[in-house]
Amino acid sequence: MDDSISLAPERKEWARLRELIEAFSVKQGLSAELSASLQLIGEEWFINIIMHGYKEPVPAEGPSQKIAFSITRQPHDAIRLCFIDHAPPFDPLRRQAANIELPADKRGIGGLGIHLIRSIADECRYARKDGCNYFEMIKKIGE
Amino acid sequence: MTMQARQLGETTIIALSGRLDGMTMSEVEEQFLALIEQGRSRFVFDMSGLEYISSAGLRVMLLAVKKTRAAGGKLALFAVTGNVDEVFQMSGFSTIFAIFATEEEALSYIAAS
Repeated sequence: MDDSISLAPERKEWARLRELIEAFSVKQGLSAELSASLQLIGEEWFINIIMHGYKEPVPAEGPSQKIAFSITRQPHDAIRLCFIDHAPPFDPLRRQAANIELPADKRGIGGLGIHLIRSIADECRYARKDGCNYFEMIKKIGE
Repeated sequence: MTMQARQLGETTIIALSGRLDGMTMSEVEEQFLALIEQGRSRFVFDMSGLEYISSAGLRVMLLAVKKTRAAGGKLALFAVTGNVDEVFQMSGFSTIFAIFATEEEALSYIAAS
C-alpha cells in the first residue's frame, strides 16, 4: 500500500500533501492522533525543503524542481514517509538540536521543525544520492 | 482556520479554531498585529477549537507573546489539548506560556497585577 505525489516547491502545495496523508490515514484506519503526527512531520520536512532547500520563490520550472513524496505502510506496523528533492545537500540529522529550554525573549524558532520530527518519528534516515536529498521518517503504529 | 476576537473589559479574548500551520499562520499573524496596533495588550487565547499546530503555528504564538510583552501587556492560553498540547510539550512552549484549564482561570491571571 503506497500513496505518492509530486509537489512543486511552494508553500500552497502543503494543502495537497496534507490531503494525501489524511486520506491515507483514513484508508489505513489510523487514529486521529497518529494521523496528526504524520501530518506534522510531513509538514515540517516539506516546509523545511521549500524554505531552506529551494529558498522560495523557485525561479525555474522543470522536473528537477519537483519534490517526490510517498507514504507507505510497512510490515511490523509502521508508516514510512519519504521525500526526495533536488535542492542542495541538507542533512537534518547533523543539525544542532534546538534549545527548547530558553525563555520567550531568547527563543527563536530555528530548528524547531527538525526537533519536532526527531521527537515524533521513531527513526529517520538521510541520504544524498544522484544529486538528490532522500529523507525517510518511520513512525510506528500504536506508540 | 478561524480567529475570532471579542473584548471583555480590557482583555481581548481570541478563539482559534481549526489548523494553525504553514498555510494559515500569516492570517493569524496579521490579525494579531492589527490588534496590537489598536493598542490592545491583554490577551487570552481560547485554544479549545484548535485541532492542529506545527512549528509555523508556534512561530506565530511566539511572536504574539513577544509583542505583548514589548507592549507591557499579558497573555494567557486556556484549553490546550490533544495534538496541540503534545506539540507545546515537545517544543518547550508549555513553559514559555501561562496556560490554564479554563477561561475563568486565564482571565483572573490577566486581571492580577
